Amino acid sequence: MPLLVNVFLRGAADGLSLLAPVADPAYHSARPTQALSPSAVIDVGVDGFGMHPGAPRIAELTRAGSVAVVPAAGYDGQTRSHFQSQAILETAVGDDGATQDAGLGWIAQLLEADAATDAAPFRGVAVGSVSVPPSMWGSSDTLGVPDPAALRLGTLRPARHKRGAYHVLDSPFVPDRSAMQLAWNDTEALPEVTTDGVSASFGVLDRLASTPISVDEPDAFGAGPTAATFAAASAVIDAALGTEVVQIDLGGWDTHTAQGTTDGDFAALVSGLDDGIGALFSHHGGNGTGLVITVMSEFGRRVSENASGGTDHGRGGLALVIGDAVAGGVQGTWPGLADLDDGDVRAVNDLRVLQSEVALHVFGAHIPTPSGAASLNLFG
Amino acid sequence: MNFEVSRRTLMQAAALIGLAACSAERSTSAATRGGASTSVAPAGDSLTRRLERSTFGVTPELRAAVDTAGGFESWLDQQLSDRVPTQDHVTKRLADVEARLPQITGGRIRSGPERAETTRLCVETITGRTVFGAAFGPDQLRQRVIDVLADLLHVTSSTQPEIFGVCAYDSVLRAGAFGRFSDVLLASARQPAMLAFLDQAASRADGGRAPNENYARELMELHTIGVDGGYDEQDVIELAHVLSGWTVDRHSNRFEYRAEWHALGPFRTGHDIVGWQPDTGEVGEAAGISVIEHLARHPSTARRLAHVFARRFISEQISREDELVREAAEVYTEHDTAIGPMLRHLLTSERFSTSATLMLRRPVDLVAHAFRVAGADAPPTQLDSDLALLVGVMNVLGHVPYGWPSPNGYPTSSAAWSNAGAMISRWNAMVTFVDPSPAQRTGSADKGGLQLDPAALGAASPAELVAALCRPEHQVY
Repeated sequence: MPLLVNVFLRGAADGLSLLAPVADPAYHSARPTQALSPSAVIDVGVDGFGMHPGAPRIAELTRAGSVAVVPAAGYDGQTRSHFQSQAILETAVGDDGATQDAGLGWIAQLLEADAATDAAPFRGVAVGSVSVPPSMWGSSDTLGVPDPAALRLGTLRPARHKRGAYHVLDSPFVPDRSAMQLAWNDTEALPEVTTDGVSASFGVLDRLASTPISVDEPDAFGAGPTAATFAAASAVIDAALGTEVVQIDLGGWDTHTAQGTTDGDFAALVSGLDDGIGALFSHHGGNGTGLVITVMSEFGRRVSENASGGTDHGRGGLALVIGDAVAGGVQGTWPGLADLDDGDVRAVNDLRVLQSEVALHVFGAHIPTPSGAASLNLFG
Repeated sequence: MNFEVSRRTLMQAAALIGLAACSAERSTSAATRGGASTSVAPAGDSLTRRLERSTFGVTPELRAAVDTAGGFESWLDQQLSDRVPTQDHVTKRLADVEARLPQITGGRIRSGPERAETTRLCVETITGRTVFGAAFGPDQLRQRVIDVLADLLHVTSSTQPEIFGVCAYDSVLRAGAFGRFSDVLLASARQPAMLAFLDQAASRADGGRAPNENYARELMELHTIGVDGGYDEQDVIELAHVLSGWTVDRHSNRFEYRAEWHALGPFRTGHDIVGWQPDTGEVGEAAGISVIEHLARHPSTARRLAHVFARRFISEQISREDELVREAAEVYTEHDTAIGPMLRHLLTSERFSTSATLMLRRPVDLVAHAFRVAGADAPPTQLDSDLALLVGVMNVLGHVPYGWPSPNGYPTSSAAWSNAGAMISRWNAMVTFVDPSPAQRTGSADKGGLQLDPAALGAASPAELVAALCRPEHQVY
C-alpha cells in the first residue's frame, strides 16, 4: 500500500544550515558567526556541501542514495511572507493570485485523483493538530488528530504518567449517538464544513469502536518535544486504517534569533527532526514498502545573518524526498550564492513540481504543475 | 526578561498545544467553497441573535440587564462605555504569579523546575482569566473584543520568555479594548511579550548591523495594513531600522528605548514607508511612535480592522469589499481609529440582527458558553485543581488562550475547528464538565469545582445535559 509522510517545517527552515555549502567562501563571509565549519558537517557525498551534525540518520540515508535533496526550493515569485507562501505552496497551484480562491491542498488533490477507498476520513491524517493544514484543505477524506488515542467518546482525565497528558475514560454520561446525529441532521444553516466534520466524526467513532488506536511511548522517536508527534504518526500507520498520507507539522523554525550552529535552536530542531524521521523510516520504510517521506518548508532564510544571532526571511529553501526508489543526491539546480535574489537564494526548483512528481510516483495521481516549471526527476 | 533563555526551547506548555505551528488560516473563499450555508434563518428572535454574538451566552440575567437598560442599543452603549466593571476571578492568583516574575525574568532563578512551575502558573492564570472572564464577567462585549484582539495582535504563551509576559500583555488589550486602535497597537509594541515574541528586543542596527525584521514585517502584514496593503521588501527593512533600539530592560523587565542600538539606516531618498517619512526632528524613539501611529491610521488598516471585526461579529464569510465593511472602516477613520464606534456601527447594522449565517463556536467560546448557561452561578472555588483541569481540556481542544504558536493568531473560520477529531473532543469536553465522579476515577479526594449543574437547561439527568450541550444550538451561534 502506498504511503506518504509529509513533514512540514513551519516557520521557514534554514536550508543553508541543514545542507550547508561549506566549500563556498561566500557562505562564510555572509555568516561570520552562523556558518557551519567544513569540519563540523557530515559528508553525504554532495560536492561542496555537508549535512548538519544534528542529522546523522538523514545523512546516513543520503549516503545510501535514499534521499533526493532539492536545494533552492520554492516557487516562482516567492515572497517572504510565511502565510502567503504556505498557502501558495501547500495548495499546489499557481502564484497568480487565484491560489487562495482555489484553496485545494496538494494532498487533497492527490487523494481526489487517486482511486477512492472506503477509508475516509483516515485517508489523509494530520497528526498533532485539531485542524488540517492547507495541504489537506478541500478534502473531506482527511482528519486532524491531536492525539490518536483520544478518538473515542468519554471523559477527559489527567494521565498519571505525564503532566499535561490526558486520557479519555469511559463515562456513563456520553451522549446518545443516534439522538445527537438526528439533532445535527435536523439543523439548517449550519456551516457545511461543520456538518461534514460531525458526519465524519461518527464514521471515526464507528471505525474505532472495537479497536482504538494505541500510541507507544515516544522514547523511540527521540527525546525532544517532537517525539510524541512522530510516535502519533507511527501509531496511525500501525493501525492500518487505510491511511495513504500522514502530515506532520513541526513548528519553531523561524530562527530570527539564537539560531546557533552546532548547538542552539536550529541544532535542537534538526535533532528532533532527524530522530523522528530516522525512527519512522526504520519502522515503516525500506525493503520495498514504498514509504516516501517528504520534508519541506515555506521558504529558506536570508543568506546573510542578522545582528541578533539569527537569520531573517529569505526565499529558496531546502526540501528532501526520502524513499527506496528516489533518485538520490542533489536534484534540480543549485543557483549558487553569487547571484542572489535580493540577498536570498533564488527559488529555482519549484516545490509544486516536487509535489506533483511525488503524487505521480507514489499514487499514480496527476496534479497540475505551474506552466514552464522544470522537472526535478526525483524518481529517476 | 531574560533573553538568554532559548526562545524556541519548547517548554512543556508548548508541547501540549495540540496545534500545527504557523498554520495559515483557511481563506474565506475556500471556506465558502466547502462551507456554503443554507439560507434558512436560524432559530431565535433578532434580540437573541444579537445577544448571542455580543456575549458568550444569553442568560436570564443578561435579558434582565438588557430590559433594565431599555433595549439592546442602550445595553450596547453601557457595555461600550467602559464603565462596566471587569471581574477577574484569578486576581489573587495573578498577583501571586506576578510577584514571582521579576525573579524569573531577571534571570536570577536558574532552576529548571522553578521555571517550569512558573510557566505552568502563567498558563493556568491566563487560561482562567480568559475562560472565566468570558463565562462570568459582566463586561461581556469587552471579553468578545479581547478575543478578537488577542488573535490580531497575537503573542504566544507556548514559549519562554513570552509566557512570563502574557498576563501583562493581556491586561494591555483589556484596557484598550474600546479605545483607539492606535493606542493599543503602540502599547502592544512596547510590551515585553511582543518585543520578545517577534524578536524586536534583540534587534540592533548600529554600526551597520542588519536589524531583525520579524516584528517590522508582522507589524505591517498581520497587525495593520495586511499582506496586500501596499508595502514591499524595502519597506520591511526600512521599518526594521526605524524601530531599532526598541527593546526590554533586563533589570526592570520594562520597555526600553536604547538609543545606541538605533540607526535609521539606508532610507531611500524621497522614499516613504506606505506614506510615512521621518520628519525633521522626528528621529529615534519618536520616529518609531510616529510610524506606528501612521500605520494604525492607514486606509488599508481601517479596511482590514473593519473586516476582522465583521468576520467575528457578522459572518466569517463577509467580504472585505462588502459595503458594511467599507462603512465600518470609515467610522474607524472618522473616530481616529477608535474601536468602540466601529464596533457599534457593526452591531447596530441591519445585517447584525438578520444574519442567517451560523458559525461554530471556537473552543474557548464553547466552554465559556457552557459554564455561562449551564454552570454554577459563580466561578469555581478550588482554583488550583480547577485551572489544571481547564488547561488540560483546552489543550485537548487545541485552544489554550494565547497558545497558538505562530504570530497570526488562532483561526476564525469554522473550517479550522470542524474536523472530526475536533468535534469528538468538543463532545468529550462537555462530558468532562458534567461527569460528577472524576474523584473516584482518579482516586483523588479533590473533586474540583469545575462542574456544570446537572439540572441546568431543564435536564432530567446528567446524560441529558451532556446531550443538550452537544447539540448544535449550543455548539454553533
